[in-house]
Amino acid sequence: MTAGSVRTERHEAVLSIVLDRPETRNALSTPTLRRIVDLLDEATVDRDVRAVVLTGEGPVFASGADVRELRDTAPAEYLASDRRRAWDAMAGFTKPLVAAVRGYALGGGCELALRCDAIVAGESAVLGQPEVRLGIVAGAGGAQWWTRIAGRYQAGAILMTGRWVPAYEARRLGIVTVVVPDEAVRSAARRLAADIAECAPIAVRATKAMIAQAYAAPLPTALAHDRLELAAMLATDDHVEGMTAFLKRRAPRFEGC
Amino acid sequence: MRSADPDRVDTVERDGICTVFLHYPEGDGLLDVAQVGSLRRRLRDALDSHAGLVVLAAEGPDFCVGLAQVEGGRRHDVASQVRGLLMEVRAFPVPIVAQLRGRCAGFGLALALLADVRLAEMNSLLSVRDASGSLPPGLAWALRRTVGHARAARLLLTGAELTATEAAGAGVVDEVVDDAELAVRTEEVAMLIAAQPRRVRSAVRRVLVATEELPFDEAMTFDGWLWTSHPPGVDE
Repeated sequence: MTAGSVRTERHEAVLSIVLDRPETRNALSTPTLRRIVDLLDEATVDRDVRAVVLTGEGPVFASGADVRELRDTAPAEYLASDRRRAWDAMAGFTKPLVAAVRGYALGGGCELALRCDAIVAGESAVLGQPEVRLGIVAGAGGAQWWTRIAGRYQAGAILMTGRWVPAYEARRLGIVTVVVPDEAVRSAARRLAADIAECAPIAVRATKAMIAQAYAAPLPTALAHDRLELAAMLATDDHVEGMTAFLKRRAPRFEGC
Repeated sequence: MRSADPDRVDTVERDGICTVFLHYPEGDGLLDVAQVGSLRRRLRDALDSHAGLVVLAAEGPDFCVGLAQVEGGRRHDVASQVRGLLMEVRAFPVPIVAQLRGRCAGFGLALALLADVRLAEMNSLLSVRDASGSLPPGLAWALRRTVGHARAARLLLTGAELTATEAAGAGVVDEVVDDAELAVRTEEVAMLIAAQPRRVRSAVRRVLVATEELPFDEAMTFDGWLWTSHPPGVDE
C-alpha cells in the first residue's frame, strides 16, 4: 500500500513503514512526516501490530527537510508548523520502533532513526547531523540524543563540525544497536521487531515508557514509576499467561490484555 | 578500454577486472597529493562500473617509493587525503591484487599490504623506509596486520629492506615471479579470484573488516546475517 512517498508492509505482527521516494533521497517533507504520523496512529489502534520497522528505499535511509522549504520559513511559522507537531507526535508513539538504516541517515533522517528504540545499521550506513554547516541546528532530537548517548566530548566534535559518522564508529559510540551486512538490514530489523513482538505487548509498551523515563526523570522518580508499572502488569491477563506458561514449561500465548 | 588521467593514475578494464596503474612521469616513484586524490577517484570509478576485482600496479620501474615531500603548512591536507585513501582501500568491497615491480617502499608498501594478494617480481625490493624520511600513515597498522606485532616492530625499527624472496619468507608478499611472467601470473591469480562467486568475493573482505571492528559475538551476528542473506544459487 503506497500513499505518496511512504508505503507499508506487514509481516505478522510487524508493520514496516518504508520511505519510498529515493529520487528525493527520502526527504522528510512535511506531508511525508504527517503520513508517517498517520501510519503510527493507525498502528497504535491496530491490536495486531506489536512492533514497527522504519526504513527507506535506495541509498538514503531518509534525509531531512527540503532545504528550499526551510530556507524561506520564518521562526514563528516553524514553531506553529505541522512539521514540528509531527515530530512531537512521533515521540509519543507507544509501541516499539526499530530503525533499519541502510545508507545515509543525515540531519532529519538521522533524527528519524534516533526516535526509534533500536537502530539496525548496515555496514556502509553513515549517520550525522550536518545542520551546523547549513546554518541551523539538530533541533528535532539530534543534539539531545547524540549528547546523551555518545557523551559530551564525542558529541561536541561530531555536532559542532557536522561530520559524518560511519556505522562501525556509531556502534562504538552506542548510537547504533547492531551493525549487519547492508543487504540484511531490513531482515535483521524485522527479526528484532519480531522478537519483541513475541513478548507480552503491554509489558513491552510499559518497558518502552520506562526507558523514556530514564531520560526524563531523576532516578528515584523513575524507579517509583517503574514500581507502578510492575504493579500495573499484575492486573493483566498476559502476566498470568506468561507466568503460567513458564511454570508449565510451554510457550506463552499473549493476547495483549 | 583505457582512460588517461593527467593526475597520473590510469585504468584499464577487461572482463570485469579493473587494473589501476600509477604513473611517475618524473620517474621518481613518489606519490603526491594529486595522485592520491586521483587514485581515490579511480577506485570509486571501479566500484561504480561494477568491477569484480582490482589490480593495483604501476607503469615504469618502481611500484612506489613513498610519499612526495611536503613542507609543514601543507602536511595536514596531504595527511587528510592519505587517510581518506587508506580508509577507502581498507573498506574496499572488492578484492585487490597488488602487482609489484621494482621498489615498493614506505607508503607504497602500506598500500600493497592493504591489498589482498601481493605478487612481486624476482628483482623487486620491499622496504619500510618511505622516501620522505617519515613513517608514512598506514604502514605500521598494515604491517602489523600482515605479519604480526613482533615482526612488524622488528622490520620497522631496523628500517628493513627485503628482497622479494626475503619478503615472501617474512609473509610480506605472497608470490615471487620472474619479471617476464609477472603480468601473466597476476592475471592468472586475478582470474582465480574472479572465478569465485561475486558474493563470496565481497563477503570475504566485508567479514574481515567486521571481524576487526566488532567483538567476536557481534562479528558472528554479522557473519550469520551474511550467510543467511546468500543461499546457494542466488548470485548477481
